[in-house]
Amino acid sequence: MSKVPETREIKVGKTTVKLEGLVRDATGIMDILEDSITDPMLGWAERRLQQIRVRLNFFPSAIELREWDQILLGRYHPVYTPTSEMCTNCTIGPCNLVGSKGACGIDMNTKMAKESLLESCKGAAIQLTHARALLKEALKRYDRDKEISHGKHVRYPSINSCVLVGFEIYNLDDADKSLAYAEQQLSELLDSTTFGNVSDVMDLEEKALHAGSLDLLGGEVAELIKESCFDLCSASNIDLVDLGDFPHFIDQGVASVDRTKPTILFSGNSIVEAEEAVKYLKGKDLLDKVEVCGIGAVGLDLGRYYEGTKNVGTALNILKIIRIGLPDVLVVGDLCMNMNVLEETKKVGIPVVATTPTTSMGLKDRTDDDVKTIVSDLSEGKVEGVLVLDLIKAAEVAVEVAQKVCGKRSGKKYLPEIGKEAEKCIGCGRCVDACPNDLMISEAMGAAKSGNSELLSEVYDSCIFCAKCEGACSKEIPVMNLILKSAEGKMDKEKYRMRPGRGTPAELEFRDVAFAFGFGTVSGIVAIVGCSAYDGSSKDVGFIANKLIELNYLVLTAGCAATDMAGYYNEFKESHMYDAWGSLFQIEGLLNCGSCSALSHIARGFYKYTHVIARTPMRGNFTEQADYVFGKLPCAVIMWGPVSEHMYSAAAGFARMGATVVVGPHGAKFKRFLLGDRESREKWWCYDGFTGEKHEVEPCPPHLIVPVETKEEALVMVTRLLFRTNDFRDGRISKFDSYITMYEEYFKSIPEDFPLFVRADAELPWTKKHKLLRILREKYGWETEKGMIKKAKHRDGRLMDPEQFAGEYGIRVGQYSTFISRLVLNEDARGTALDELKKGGEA
Amino acid sequence: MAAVSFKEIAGLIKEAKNPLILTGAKSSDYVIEQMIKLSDSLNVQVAATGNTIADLLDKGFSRCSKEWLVEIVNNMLLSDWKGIDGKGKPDLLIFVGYLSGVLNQLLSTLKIYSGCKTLTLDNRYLSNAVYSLNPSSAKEWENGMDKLVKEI
Repeated sequence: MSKVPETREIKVGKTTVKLEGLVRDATGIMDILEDSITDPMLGWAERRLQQIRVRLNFFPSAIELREWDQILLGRYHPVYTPTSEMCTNCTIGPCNLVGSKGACGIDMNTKMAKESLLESCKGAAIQLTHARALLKEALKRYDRDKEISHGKHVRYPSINSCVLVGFEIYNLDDADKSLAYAEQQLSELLDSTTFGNVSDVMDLEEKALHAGSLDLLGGEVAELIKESCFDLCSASNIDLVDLGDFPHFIDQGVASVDRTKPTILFSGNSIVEAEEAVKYLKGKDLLDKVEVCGIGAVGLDLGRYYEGTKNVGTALNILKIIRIGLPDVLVVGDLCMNMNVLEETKKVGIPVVATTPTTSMGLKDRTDDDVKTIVSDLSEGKVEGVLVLDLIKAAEVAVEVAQKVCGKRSGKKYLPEIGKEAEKCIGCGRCVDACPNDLMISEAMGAAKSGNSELLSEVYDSCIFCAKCEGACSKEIPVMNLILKSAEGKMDKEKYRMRPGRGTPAELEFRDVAFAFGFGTVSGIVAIVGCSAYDGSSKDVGFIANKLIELNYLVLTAGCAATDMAGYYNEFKESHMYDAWGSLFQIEGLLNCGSCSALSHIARGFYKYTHVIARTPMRGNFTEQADYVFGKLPCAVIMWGPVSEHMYSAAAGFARMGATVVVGPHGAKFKRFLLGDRESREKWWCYDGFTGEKHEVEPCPPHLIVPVETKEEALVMVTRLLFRTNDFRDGRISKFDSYITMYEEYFKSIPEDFPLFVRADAELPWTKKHKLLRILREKYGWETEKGMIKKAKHRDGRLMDPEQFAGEYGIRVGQYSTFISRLVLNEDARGTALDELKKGGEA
Repeated sequence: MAAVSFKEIAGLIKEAKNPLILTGAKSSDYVIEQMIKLSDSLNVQVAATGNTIADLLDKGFSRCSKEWLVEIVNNMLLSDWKGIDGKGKPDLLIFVGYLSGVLNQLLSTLKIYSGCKTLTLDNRYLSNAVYSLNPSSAKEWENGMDKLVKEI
């Protein structure tokens, strides 16, 4: 018998709602749909249901969110940076795609779009694999109905899942469902990257954005499991009065490690193994006798669990940590591991315990062997490493090996003397050519030859410890080791304090600042994330964060950038970053959310505002959420350092939800940017939400994903990207103020594009008003008088009265605007809404 | 694509009808001074990317404007861009003072999508530039730059 489509009518107040009309296909989702409409907290107000044409998406594929993606990609076009002119994706080719198509019909842009999608899928896969592995471990310890605790201060739980998929995660079974959706989607997206699947560039970029959303979803699931099943601290249960000093501090930097003690180093995403090691040590009353350290993601995660841990740096510092012989045993989880790790650990005699199938490094699987035998083999050097997939066993092995190896390695010198090695240098400069940061290694080696290692020590400050210089050296000089040797004194002082991360910002913090955003008295929220490892490491992200905090931005961080900035010294406050600033999500606060899966908390934060300020319903309502964030919420992300696949997909995820993204200083190596063309005036528009008229608006935000060269450019660009179509007057004033202040500070001039953002004289910052009006008058032909604009110059060259100008350019202050035609108020609802607005009520 | 000498560069620059000099974030004081001289001789605009506008203005040089590297690249892909001085799209982009890996990647965009002539003046060969200097030591490079600027 054929299936009859299900229909259902419900009442919201006096309004009848046909549920099947709210979605494309209601099969199997009627209950969740009804709940989404009627839920008193997250559901729909009757009036809103009357005002707009509601269209929700539950478990959506990329194409179902095309409505929104096409708005973004219609305005911000992809610009690609191909690494090759050839396509080698299939065996018909290779095909040269410059000016011609390949044998399958592919052109260069489509090839690059496929690469972009693939990159984004790889990033999403990282988060989803991590989340799945955590779920698997959680299910070994708990039943499927194990509650996911959101904490008493989190009113909007699992927002990424709620907005994208359509339901919240309340237990492990929900987490499984959410992940299963994402994994199925990922498989579908990957299919589009294959040979023979026809897609155009925009199709593929829509899918790349979708993969970005999946990345943030995976991160959220991982974080929820870590907090609920593995006891990572979270602000969600802490009272606001106590949040000012939450979470606890941990030590950061290599000098924080007591090298006389057995030292275990956990890397990658190895939080479960690390926790098991701590538990095992506690059980044996040995916790204070062993150093349990983390690097990269686990360096942050472990800090949220164990105060005594030492975070020894960002993931890309691993070769430095190995070369100086810091750990007695290295535990390798998945993610962010140097390909040569086994070769490197072998050189210095550090045994390795790999714990995941993804980073198994060809090691023999010893999961079924007894601990005693594995420990003996590793500690006696019979094997260089083992794969142990049972994480409890792996932890026990690591602890036992560390204790046995420690004595043997004590007092050992790992770094060579500089003089003898430097003498071999012939100054060929190959090391400089190989260096990703163009560091003047050759010059430094020349000086070292004459006994001056000062320049080498300066190279250390900007070195990212990739060892490419060594691979390039024709004389086989261990260049990186010499750089490290020259900086031993510096490393002895690398000890800072940092807050390891605290999960999602608490509800009250958001409420406290939400209305400041609503009325524009805060310039914006900026998240500083990324993998670190760039020229100027530890200085740039600290500098950027510090400057933004000083300028009253709300600053969040997560991932290795959060670790990297710990060493930044604030001279005015005479303290390092985390000591200098509070931990609240407030002015003068620096909120570290956690490791890179905690990027999802940042996204949660952005979504939260839309609900707090506008009561925008969340479940399955991605498009309206993104429309709000993009048009109204001044939020941006700075990704600093080389762009890993994960950062690529996270950037896509943030961009898709309406947050702007700055990448640098290696940003140009990003395979694709999403750039606006301000001269194409037809692209800069939005709907008047009351009348449905299409309005020309300011070219803001000017770009969606954009690279910069320097930290100063990052700061100026981010202030530029925070302009929003729907800025309130005060918001526009503070954005002008920050943008122009920083531009003048670093570029010693006034930005030539500022007139494009001028809607009214009342929006020019008081302290700069005279100057800006003079420039508008003298350089751009506006007519101004006594601090006021008399005639504004429209982009088409017409001079017009301010009133006419406000009607034709930009959206009037407080006016409801949208980029989605179905979100324009229905004709029946307009009269009521306008009457209420006139009365000062909520429209 | 082609490694060139300072002598060949002089010819290329002289031949260009509407060149544009771009100074990048890694430009040293010496580079800034040389580009000011080059700009004066050729009477062409300097697109100051990174923070170099501050250095140029500090030296009293005004034939320059703050630009964003990626926006210049983006504009070069547009058919109707009039250049930063409104005189038309440049026919030769002269880059100096850039992180080589970063510039090389953006040069590939220009090479593949715009077909414009690009020239890099740093002492590292960049494969995606249409013309790039032969690698040389810092000293040789400075000598070459001095001669180039004098000749032009």
